Amino acid sequence: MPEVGNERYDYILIWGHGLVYVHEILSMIREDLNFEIKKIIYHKPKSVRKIIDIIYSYDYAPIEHLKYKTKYLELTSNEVIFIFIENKKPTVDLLGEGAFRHEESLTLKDIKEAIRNKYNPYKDGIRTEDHVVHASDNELQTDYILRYLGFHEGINIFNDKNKFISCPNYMNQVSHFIIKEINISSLVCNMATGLNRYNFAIKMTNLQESPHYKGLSEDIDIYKNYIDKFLGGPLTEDYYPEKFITLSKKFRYLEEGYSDSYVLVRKHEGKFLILDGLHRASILASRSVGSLTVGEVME
Amino acid sequence: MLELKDFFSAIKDEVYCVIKPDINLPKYSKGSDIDIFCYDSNVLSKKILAIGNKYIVEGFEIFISKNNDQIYIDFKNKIDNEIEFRFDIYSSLPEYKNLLIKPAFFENVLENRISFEMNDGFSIFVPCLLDDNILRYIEYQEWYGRRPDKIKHIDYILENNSTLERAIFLQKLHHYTELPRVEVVYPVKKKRMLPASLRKAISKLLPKKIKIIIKRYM
Repeated sequence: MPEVGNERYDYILIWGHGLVYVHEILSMIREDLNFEIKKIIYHKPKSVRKIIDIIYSYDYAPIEHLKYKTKYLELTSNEVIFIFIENKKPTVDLLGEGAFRHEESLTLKDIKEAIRNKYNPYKDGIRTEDHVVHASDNELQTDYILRYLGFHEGINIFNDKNKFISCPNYMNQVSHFIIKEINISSLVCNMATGLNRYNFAIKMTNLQESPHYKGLSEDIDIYKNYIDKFLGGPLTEDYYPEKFITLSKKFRYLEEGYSDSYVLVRKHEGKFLILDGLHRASILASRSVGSLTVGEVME
Repeated sequence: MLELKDFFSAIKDEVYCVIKPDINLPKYSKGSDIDIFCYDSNVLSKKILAIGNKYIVEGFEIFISKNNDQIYIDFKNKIDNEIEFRFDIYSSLPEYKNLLIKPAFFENVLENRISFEMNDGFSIFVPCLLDDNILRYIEYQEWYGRRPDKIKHIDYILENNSTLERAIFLQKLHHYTELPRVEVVYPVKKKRMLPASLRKAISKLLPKKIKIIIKRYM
């Protein structure tokens, strides 16, 4: 019997020839309630061969088969996208025969196949095996890839380190907070500037100057362009305009169930630098809220 | 002034236990605190903050500190910057120096807690009488020699328990506690007659055989 439950972390990799479908593939994953996107990372390896070796070094299949199977990838562009997901219902089962027999999440297999059916190249009306996406077989592979990408904690980066107050998993352990009221005009935030997701700098700016605030108060395309330019580089969370607009419409700050989801800040030269909650703070600012309750991180 | 009733109403479904509650609760005096044992200090602190948020607009700030299994939540008045009230939340036994306590005593306190009506229909969970006695004894022992006023806990145990209850109290106390070794509580430094530099110099002059004898027998 397949195992049900026991959520785990997986990844879906979009190969170079699938990059043009990134928005469509992300939408497919977002629409599947079995998955929640945790991190998106664009990656340019030294060579396609190198990333193939990395990806398949933990694969169950015999090496000769892999060489044949991955030959087409050497002709694809030297850029890939990793989409790390929480697989809420892995439903693991044993698949394949003989040397190919291995454990696999059936829910992940379903979406992988759906993406391949839609976006793999077709020849004479038949789907080729030049897969646009690859997916992990188990959490160990996810852990390995995260470490390869420089996240030394592996899948532990997704663990909440501050369970006594709502904090994003990318924040280190904090032991002192002050919950206080501050003027919204004293908020500043870090913004990415530069050419693209691979070539950027971080600049501090007033909240009212952020693409987030401007996107809501002026034109949502300002926000969209910012996300398109930097997603997968300095921005790795799953942000997109539709999600932001939906949030801005129904958002009620610190409402029941979210009463400890404070905008988190750190004092910086007389201002308060937003560490988490830029979207929420922008929504409140766009509603002309004068002050808000924040969680000031002390150490 | 905080409405403590609201906070305890918010945590009523949690497994918690207030240790040595002030008899005037839900009234409190400025600067006082309350010790709470519970299984999940994270959940408890979130629920306290949910109620605490409304005091932010009334001029309070909330200071939260986490230290291993202990969370402090201090409500400070912005006007005088002094602590109005502190919630001291433990999810395991605090560390005691003068008494060794089996960790299971913590769960025992929570499992045997009782609901107790304080004032005006206000109820909270407190340790049962037997565990309350043990906690009072632990506090007396912990402050022995430094806080003579803590003898009040022993007086309380003697006055409020029958001979049989005192016998059961001692049995349970002995089951869960042990006195630490004297040398752990009062570490004694070996006193040397000669300073280290002089000992080293003399040692260099001594023949090897003598050194071995000194090492073996002294």
